[in-house]
Amino acid sequence: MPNAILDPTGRAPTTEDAAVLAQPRATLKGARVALLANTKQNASLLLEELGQLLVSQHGVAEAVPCTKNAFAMPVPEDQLEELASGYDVVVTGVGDCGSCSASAVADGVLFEQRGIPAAVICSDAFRVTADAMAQMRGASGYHYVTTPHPVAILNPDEVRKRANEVLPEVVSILTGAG
Amino acid sequence: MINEEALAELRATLEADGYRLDADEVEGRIRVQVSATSEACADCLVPKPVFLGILRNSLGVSEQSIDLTYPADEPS
Repeated sequence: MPNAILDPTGRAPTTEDAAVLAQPRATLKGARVALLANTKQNASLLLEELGQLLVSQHGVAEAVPCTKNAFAMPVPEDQLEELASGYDVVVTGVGDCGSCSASAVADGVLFEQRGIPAAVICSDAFRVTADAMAQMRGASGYHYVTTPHPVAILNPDEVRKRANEVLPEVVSILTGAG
Repeated sequence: MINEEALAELRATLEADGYRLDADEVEGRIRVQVSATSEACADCLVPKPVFLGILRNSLGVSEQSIDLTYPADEPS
């Protein structure tokens, strides 16, 4: 059976700009945040650093790390439901390759369609694949965060620096500011 | 005529995962071959149907006029 997310033959809802996106939160204060890493090198560290920043600087109540085991595939339905029902917002990534950037954006759109604001982080070399997936999911122009490619080879200090760099845009997406 | 500027962007994207893109036009059809270099990340290549859609949008041609070959399509 074809995969409806990664296979555009499941291209039913492709009306331009017709995505059903979540209403951003007015504030992240008190929010429960899921940090969904995709197993790409440095994804967990980047997201956990972001989580700490969200707690310390934006009043997030809890930032909980979790993992999607297959980076090239969309988040499994049961995990999607679990996160959508248990958290207020999701931060996910890192789309640091062709297949994982596409699936990260597909995940972001899926969370948004369930009413959960989602910030997707991709590296800038993969805008083409990320944008293509957004269009195929009926979410042309879907806003995600980019960081310079590659992320995988960064050392821990460099990853922490990246987390600080992407923080404002992550917050902007989740709160609808800017 | 193939839009070389659009192809250059796609080449750069594929090269970031260790893949090479070759394209030519023969009798009104666009032939696109994606091959793996020794640095290729096996699971990183965007799924073929997705890349076909990207080619359609980038080159401004119908998918039916594109013959796309992926590494997995090549005889071993």
